[in-house]
Amino acid sequence: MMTTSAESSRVLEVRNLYTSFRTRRGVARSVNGVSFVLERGRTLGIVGESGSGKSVTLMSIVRLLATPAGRIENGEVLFEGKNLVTSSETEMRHIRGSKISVITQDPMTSLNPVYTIGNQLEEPIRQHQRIRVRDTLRRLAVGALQSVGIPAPEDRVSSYPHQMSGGQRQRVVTAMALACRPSLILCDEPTTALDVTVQLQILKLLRDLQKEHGMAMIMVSHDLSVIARVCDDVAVMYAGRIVEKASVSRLFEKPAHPYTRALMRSLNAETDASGRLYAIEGQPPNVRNIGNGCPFAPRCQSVRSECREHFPHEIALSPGHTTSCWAVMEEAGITAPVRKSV
Amino acid sequence: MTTRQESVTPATPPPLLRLEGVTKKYPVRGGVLTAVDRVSIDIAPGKVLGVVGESGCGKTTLSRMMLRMTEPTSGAVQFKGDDIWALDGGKQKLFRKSVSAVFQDPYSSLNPRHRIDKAIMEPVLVNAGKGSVTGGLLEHLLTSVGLPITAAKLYPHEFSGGQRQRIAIARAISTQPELVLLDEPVSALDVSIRAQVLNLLKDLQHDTGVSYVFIAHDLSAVRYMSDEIIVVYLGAIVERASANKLYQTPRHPYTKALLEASLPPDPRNPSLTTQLRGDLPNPINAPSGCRFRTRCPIAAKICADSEPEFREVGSGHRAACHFA
Repeated sequence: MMTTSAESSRVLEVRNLYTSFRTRRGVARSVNGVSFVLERGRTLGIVGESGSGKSVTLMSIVRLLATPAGRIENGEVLFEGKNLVTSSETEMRHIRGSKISVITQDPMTSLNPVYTIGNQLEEPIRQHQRIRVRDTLRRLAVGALQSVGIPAPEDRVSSYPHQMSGGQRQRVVTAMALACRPSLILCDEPTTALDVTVQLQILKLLRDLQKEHGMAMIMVSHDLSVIARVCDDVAVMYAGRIVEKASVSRLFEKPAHPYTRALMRSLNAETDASGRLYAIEGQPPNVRNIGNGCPFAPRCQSVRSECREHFPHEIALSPGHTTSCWAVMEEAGITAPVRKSV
Repeated sequence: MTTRQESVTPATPPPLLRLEGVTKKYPVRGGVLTAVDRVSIDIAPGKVLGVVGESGCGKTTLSRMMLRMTEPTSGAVQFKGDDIWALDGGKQKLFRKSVSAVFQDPYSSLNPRHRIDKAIMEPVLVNAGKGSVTGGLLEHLLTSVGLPITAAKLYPHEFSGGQRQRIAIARAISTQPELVLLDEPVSALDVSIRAQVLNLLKDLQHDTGVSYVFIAHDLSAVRYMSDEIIVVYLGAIVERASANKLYQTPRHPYTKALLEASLPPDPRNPSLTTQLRGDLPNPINAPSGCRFRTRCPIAAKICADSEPEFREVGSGHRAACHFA
């Protein structure tokens, strides 16, 4: 649960993050004031649809935004007490792959097709730990492959990416990400490109390794069922904003925000009285054209007049469970805004 | 070669499309890849057949053979009793008009330089000729997929993914087909949009009595859409049953694993256990005996020695497993 605790156990704190992209068709405000805290050994899931800003949030943390279009406009990313937004590129290079690792959706694009996987596994160790002895590097690479459950790692270390299946490649990427024992691991849809039966294997691997090394993890996914299987806490994003945050079990038990509730109904393939699937009508918003109101208002069934004018403050429904919704506020009889979003 | 999978033919009505022992082999470096292996299916008029399987299981090859885009190596595909590779000009035209498709990616299946009216009406013009197009058809098609009439004059890039898929559906039904092949029609769409498109497809099916072949890897969507479901593994059907039966009493261990992996999880007791080991084996050297045995949790010696028969395990329910 995201309760207040000693600063020292905080691996990451994102405060009021705004990220936007300048495009030919206007400014896309992809992340609009996102805040959250992540503690050591915890896993946070960020769920949202395409364009909700979940991946941009992740890439803003490690400052891997497409430049010059993408820019962090405002906010702080405090990693082990250091603000990454104002860090130099050299400092960032020391952090990426060493203290913070990223696992992306498509393992084929994160591996170089012309180098053996052994070579690619050794690279972060060579770069960050300054080990140059060949035999040592090879031994570490074999050990890394073994830890992610690749059979016959001594042989596989000389394979090329194309000689492995999708699931195995994602294991290799995981081994690379963990090679330098990072304290934070960022996963961007790590299993979306994989078949359902292989998905579970990779999720189990990630969760086991995360627990084993006591790392903090952020798992971005459009799929609530993936998040429910791996995460402790979850943040629901819609059009660049976190609309609800809770522990996974609380969110499944008592989803509060109308968007979260609608997502739950789609997850369970609920049908209405006439046997039709429950659908969220309308289209996702255009992030180039977002006003000050709640972005979900045009599709929301509990919409009221203030929704279109102001995005609501975050309110706490119970310890660790927060949401931003005028309708929920009214139902709960809450008027005072929560000052700090933790 | 004997047909391993006999088809269950309902007495009436006769099938719209029938696949009989259809096999497709591709010569590749290092051997022969059997993409589809002795598959027999009947698609009845007005029914929805769900096809479920992982990537590489032969779903796409199967759908291409149904659309007469790939010729089977052996076996026959019949449309209303006629072999689709032996159709004469007129009947071939009728087949083209009667069988259409909607593909996964609405971004690549629409020509970016064609306006929506052209995209939707092209199949009608090709099949029926300019003269025979009745006025109001375009408007009718747009309305029936829930798009405004004004959409006709716009280009694909002006629409979102869900709207593009509606356009692709309008095009697929423009010639009043009897069978529409839906190849992962909602997989590329956002969760909140999927239900809209599935509801639309179901409404259209209800209103027009068209048959669907619904190919997907998302089992909850397949269940909602289908009357009968086949589960495909490494090119062959491993289980076939009515949608409810398949979900309530799956008999093949592969079907069980698929269902388990796609169930909404219980967050208080999140299960990450999967019965399946490893990845899909190389289809060039498919395992001996049962094709699933290398990943099967209950495989025994008999599974390596002999190929299980695709046998009846309940009324209208078949599975290819020694232990089913």
